Amino acid sequence: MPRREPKGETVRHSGIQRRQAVPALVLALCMAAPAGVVAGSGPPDDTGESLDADPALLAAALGSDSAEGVPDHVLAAIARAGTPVDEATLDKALECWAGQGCETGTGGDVTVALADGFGENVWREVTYMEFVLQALTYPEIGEIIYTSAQGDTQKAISDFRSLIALDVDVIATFPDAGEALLPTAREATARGIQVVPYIASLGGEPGSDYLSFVAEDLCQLGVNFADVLNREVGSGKVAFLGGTPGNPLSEAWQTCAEPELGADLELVGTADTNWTQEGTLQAVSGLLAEHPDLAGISYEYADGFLGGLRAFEAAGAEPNIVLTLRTDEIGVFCAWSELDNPDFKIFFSSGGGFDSRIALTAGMMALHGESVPAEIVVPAQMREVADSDCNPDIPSAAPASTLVPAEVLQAMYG
Amino acid sequence: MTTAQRVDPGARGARVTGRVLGAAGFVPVWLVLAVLLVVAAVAAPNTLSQTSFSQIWPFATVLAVAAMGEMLVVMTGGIDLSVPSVITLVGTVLLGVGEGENSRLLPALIVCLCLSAAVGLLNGLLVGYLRLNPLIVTLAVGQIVLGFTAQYRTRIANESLVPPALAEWASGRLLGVTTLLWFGAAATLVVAALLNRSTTGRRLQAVGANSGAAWVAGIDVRRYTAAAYVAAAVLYGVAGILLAGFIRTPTLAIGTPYLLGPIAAVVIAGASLSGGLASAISTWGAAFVLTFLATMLRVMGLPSALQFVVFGAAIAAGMVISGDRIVGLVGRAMVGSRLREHDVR
Repeated sequence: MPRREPKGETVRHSGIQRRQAVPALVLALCMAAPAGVVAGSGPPDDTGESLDADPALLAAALGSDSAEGVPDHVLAAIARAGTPVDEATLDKALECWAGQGCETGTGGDVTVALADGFGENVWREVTYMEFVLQALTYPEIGEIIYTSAQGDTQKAISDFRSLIALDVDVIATFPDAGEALLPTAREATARGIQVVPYIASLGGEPGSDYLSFVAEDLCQLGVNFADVLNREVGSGKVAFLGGTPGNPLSEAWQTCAEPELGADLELVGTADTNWTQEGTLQAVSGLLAEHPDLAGISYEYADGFLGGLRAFEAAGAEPNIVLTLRTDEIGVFCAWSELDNPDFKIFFSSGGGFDSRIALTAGMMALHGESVPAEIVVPAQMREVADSDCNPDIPSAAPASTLVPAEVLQAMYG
Repeated sequence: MTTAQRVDPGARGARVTGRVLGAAGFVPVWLVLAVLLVVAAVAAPNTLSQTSFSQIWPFATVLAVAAMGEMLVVMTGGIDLSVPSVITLVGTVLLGVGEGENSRLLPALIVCLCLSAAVGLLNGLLVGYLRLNPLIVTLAVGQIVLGFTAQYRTRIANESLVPPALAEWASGRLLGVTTLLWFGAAATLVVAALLNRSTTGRRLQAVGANSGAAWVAGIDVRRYTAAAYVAAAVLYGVAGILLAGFIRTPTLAIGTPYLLGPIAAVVIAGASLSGGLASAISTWGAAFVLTFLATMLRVMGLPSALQFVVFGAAIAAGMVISGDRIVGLVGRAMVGSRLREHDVR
């Protein structure tokens, strides 16, 4: 078996990669030129990827169908996400998803991995399916590997080391363990693996310690939350809910949201939920006990807030609150619709579950010798929940902003 | 007559000493509870509100039922770390077998309890008959159970609910208080009665107090040890059913908080980790103390980091004044007193 070429900077200029990239680049130029003036398309780029993202997918993912201000790598990922899923692809995707990895059957020599810090909830499962479907659009990908550290930092490091040992080409990762994973990520990068964390930060220097960092601007998310609370609540008591204690994601948006709260809003507390319905129930119960007149809550995890609604129910209180959410599982939207309470409003950002697609596409672009910025910022706008967001045709645990087609979601959870 | 006069005071003294020691062992938890209620009334009065108790009662009940299971194992000198796995297993099976249909509730409950008993039997055989270390064995069995549960969970729709009848019952109220509390109270009394009034219960206590003496007395120590693990696992299963009914959509993380909690409750309640007597009612009180304390810390709005510190310190403090240590202190004091009395004579 021939020794594989080292990856990373050197691989970007390998002859094999150039041979694959040139036809793709020509194809992209041909496709992009006539569509240059259409919203959602980009200028002819040097990425070899189409930037002609479907406006409907843009709207579903980012809250706006305009491509203006959307980074090219995000457009490229969303454009790929528009690839139709035929029956064979669906079967293969389900096999990969349920089996925690698979051989794609294309015979491609590229191996990609998703190293999840915690994979045991619906949101993460859909994120993994996003990754799988994106990977199946690349014929050069021959194998997909998935690991979940189940919230255990030591396992996360161990998983990462296993992937290095397996000599994978791209690792997309949701690094719940944060900077604890940085030395291992550096080692992977030194071995030529394209490491692309998404949503949660690895710390260090993106672009040198690892390829790139894909995330929404969490600080802007916090500001957006505060804007909604200022506008919709005006005056009163508000609270922030976070996930596991000390996690960087919650801390990032909460740090930026607090100073933006209006003078008439009182932040009465923050509470951790461990991103579970049980934890959210207990956290909200604690808040309600001390502040029965709570008027607003900001939280990341929509599905978890079903536990928050249970807390209101157990306390015999109506959820007369403004709730801002980062993720967008439709189950809580359906619960909102069922309550039919005009004093209960929900605003949500883009869940960002499709960031795993962007991470993979960025890694593949780098593998093909194309330039990838150190940070890829995914824009998002706050949207108010409407009855139409409770879509009975897709599973209630699915996020509204997912790019996974409805038929795939139904097959996953049906 | 002279002989009787010499023996009676000693026998009477021993009986009195036994009663005092027996009572002293289980008193501290109630003192701690009283102190906690006073602290809450001063520092966080809303902890005593109905809103607060709307979640204290259900979670305290679940912890109490699980802790009573742990208590049975601790009485034999063992320890059981498979509690979180059994609770998670039960929550998952309720979804899978129950299929969200009331007509499937009974089969689901039966399967849950049978599987719980099977896990307990495995623990019991390995600990009771093969004499393996209970700490390692129950941890290992718990991991195996969790693995199977996680695999089984992949075949269940994530938005699944427990059968509605169970959810309604778990959310219901009787005389203004959650039905879970009444159920927990009844379960506590049943366990206490079985332990103190039945032959089986007394033999289990004998095994825990002194397995060698119990063996000499003709008690099958291995069988009773194994049976303690089975009964304990069934109680974990019941706790899992109560919790899943209250939560409605149990996840794979549902059992996670129940690793330390039941052990802490048992020890704070006055049981010795080296085995021996324990009180179901005190265990219930300790479970309430722990749940109440956790809620009070949340109501006070302490950051999670500080909550961990205070909660951990409280458990450590609870162990310092636990009944087991109190018994030792009181026992030494009384024996010392009698010895001094003897010297004077």
